[in-house]
Amino acid sequence: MARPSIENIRGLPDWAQVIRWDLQFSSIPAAINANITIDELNFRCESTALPTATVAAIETNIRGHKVKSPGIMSYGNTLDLVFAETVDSKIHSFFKAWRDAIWQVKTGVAAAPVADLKGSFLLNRLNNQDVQIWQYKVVGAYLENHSLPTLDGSSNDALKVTLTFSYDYYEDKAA
Amino acid sequence: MAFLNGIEQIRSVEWGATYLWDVKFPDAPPPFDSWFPAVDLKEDLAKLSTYDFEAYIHKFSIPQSTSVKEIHLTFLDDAKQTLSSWIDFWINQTILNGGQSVSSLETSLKLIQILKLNRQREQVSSLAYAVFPEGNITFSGSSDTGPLQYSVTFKVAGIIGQKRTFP
Repeated sequence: MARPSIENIRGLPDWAQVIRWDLQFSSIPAAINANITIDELNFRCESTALPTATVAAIETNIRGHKVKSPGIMSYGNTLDLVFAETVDSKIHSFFKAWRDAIWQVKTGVAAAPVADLKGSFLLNRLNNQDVQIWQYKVVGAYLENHSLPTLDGSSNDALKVTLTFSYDYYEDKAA
Repeated sequence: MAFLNGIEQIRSVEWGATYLWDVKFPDAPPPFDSWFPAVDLKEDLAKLSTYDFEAYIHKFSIPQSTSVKEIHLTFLDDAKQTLSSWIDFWINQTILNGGQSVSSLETSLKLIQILKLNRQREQVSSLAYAVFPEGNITFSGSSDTGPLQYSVTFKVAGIIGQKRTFP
């Protein structure tokens, strides 16, 4: 097999680009009383990690010969989404509503059973014509953590919020 | 020539794994009658006690008897405490009749099915035991975030069904 020629490379389809994607919350949990729409979340989402899974190895180590077998696959189970905040504080309202639904300040009361505190969302990768080419469906998501930037007196950057979602599993497929 | 000649002999075996098993109590309350949220299992497959004796300057052991098998199960419970309530009722009402008397062995037993699986989640062996709980079922509360978990030991009174492949 020879080294690839330039024509081999030129003959490949368009490269998939990291800018071509969208976020779609298929369901915001019933208990989350946030004043934000699915589109408003999508428009403010600046970047996202993609879900991954790892297969643990079972090592069979017999007198110097080590063989590995696939064991339990575990999903990454957390995913970081970075949102740019707007002056209407839509993102703050969103994560505050979710956080308060899980654990009410002072009392620790949850607003609803677990099933109503979890949602699911889609991460769609698009081609250069913005047609969906691959879809990740993240299931059982809830807000596990959020991190906020330091406010200062010299930066020009927008205020960006990283929301860490915990999830149970994901499915991915070609569109 | 050695018995084990190289890594290819080891590679040719499909090795077992500790997570390839399943458990069901058909009499458990729903939804745990069709599957059981057990996270750890210890199952006595065979037990043999020996008779030890000494003669002159030697000590000997010979097979003598067997004893009651045990099954140790660790399982998770739901927010309604469905399973701990069920085992509580099993011990205190079904067996101990509210502290008034002890039921017969036949009345005290429930069925547990234990499967061993391969990686395709196909059944490799199946054993069904008639068991009763022994010892305590203890709620362990804490102030940390963690699942609600119980450990129970069951004594085996009989093997109802057995399907094991050997060799």
